[in-house]
Amino acid sequence: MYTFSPRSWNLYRRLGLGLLGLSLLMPARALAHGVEASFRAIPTFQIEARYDSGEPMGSAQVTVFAPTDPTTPWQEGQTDAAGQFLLQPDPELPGLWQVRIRQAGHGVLLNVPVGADATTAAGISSSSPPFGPLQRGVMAACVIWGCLGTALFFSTPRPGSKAPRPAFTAPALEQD
Amino acid sequence: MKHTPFRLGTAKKRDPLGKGLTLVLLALGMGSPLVACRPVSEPRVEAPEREPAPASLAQSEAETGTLEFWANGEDFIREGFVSKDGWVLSFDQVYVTLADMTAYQTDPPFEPESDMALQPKALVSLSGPLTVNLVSTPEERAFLGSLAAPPGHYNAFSWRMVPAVSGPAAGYSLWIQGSAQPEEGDANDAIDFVLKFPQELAFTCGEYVGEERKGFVRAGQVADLEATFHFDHLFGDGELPPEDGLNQGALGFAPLAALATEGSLEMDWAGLQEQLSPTEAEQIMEILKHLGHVGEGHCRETAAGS
Repeated sequence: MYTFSPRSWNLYRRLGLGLLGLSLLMPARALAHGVEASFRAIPTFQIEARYDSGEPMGSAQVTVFAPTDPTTPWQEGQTDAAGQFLLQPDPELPGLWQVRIRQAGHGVLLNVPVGADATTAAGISSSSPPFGPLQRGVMAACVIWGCLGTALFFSTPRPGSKAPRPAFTAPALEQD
Repeated sequence: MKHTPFRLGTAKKRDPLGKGLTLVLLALGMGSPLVACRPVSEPRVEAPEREPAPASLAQSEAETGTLEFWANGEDFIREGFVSKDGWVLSFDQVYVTLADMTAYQTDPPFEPESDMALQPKALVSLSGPLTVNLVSTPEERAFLGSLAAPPGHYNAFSWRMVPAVSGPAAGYSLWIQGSAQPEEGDANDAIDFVLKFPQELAFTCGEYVGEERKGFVRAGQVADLEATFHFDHLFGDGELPPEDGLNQGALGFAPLAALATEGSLEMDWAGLQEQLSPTEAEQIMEILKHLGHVGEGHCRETAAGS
């Protein structure tokens, strides 16, 4: 029959307290199954391609290149029947976006500047939700208590500290 | 009494609850900064690697790459095609003579359809003149030459078409020799033709437009640019409907066939001007101004002689 020795009890007690501490580090959203939603406006460019005659380049091949990699297509698609294509570049990649439009042996490379001059607006300025006053207060208190607790912990006299510290091993059950 | 292998203190001297509370507070203390340091703004985005590189930067590069220049008459010239008015065309020799072939790194990118000026940051050039046959090439394209080039994106290309100074096409910038046969007709109606144009033309083009982008020179590597000639603009394309814009602007071959005698037509530009109607002659001139391309991309004709 297995029984808990005082040594095992201490180990399990520490393990439990450690797990409790770790659980407090877990984000609250995971526990609450919370849902977040935000919005922001991103620039959209309506591109219209047509021949010199005015005829639209309908169903033309469209290849978009981001400024960060001018040789690898960022997006591929085609114009609609009216020769139009909606470009929604990643606003986090400012610079000169290039759109290649080809059809029947004719093509053009269009340069679309994206950046400070582009029309951008955002409902929130951050991908992370802002912290409220209560959250900020709790976080500050945690920091203070954390520092204090750490100081108290290391200031505690440890008689056995001179002995060589054995490597940590997983707790084992002791059999009487 | 058994000793614990790792003790925070003696169990007799410390209250277990107090020890647990200390651990919890320690955990909170460690975790809080992690939470508090969450970014409150969007992740920083690295500045895009803008191409082309400034000339000074490009020139300071210790290593250079290689930039090749090619000329291409496309499948129309190599394999022949049917004109917009039903003549089956095949070509024996199509000579073009190019000079002052210059590749540029421009910023902003040059757009030939606009009125903007070409603003080069760096350039490399082959002076020429070089005459190549767009038909008889070991590869699909005719090699013009190569040169060492500082790394960067050469997103503009210009060249002049000038009269050849020697060789079979001497005196002409464009020499088109081939045969034509009506798509529906007798083989005896075939016409062997030679068309000779001395016009000096100049093309300034933006970036090559094709299946893949060209002109990216990297140290120790080879890149290329291409002067592409669209002869379907001259003869039209029988695979396209008559009302297609290309066919509407093309001359076709029928006006030239009408000038042939006993199945032969050899005529230079002066003869064509004399024999064709003024409208047709003017049409040819306009077509020649738009003969030069970079792949599928159009060019700006910057100086045309007559």
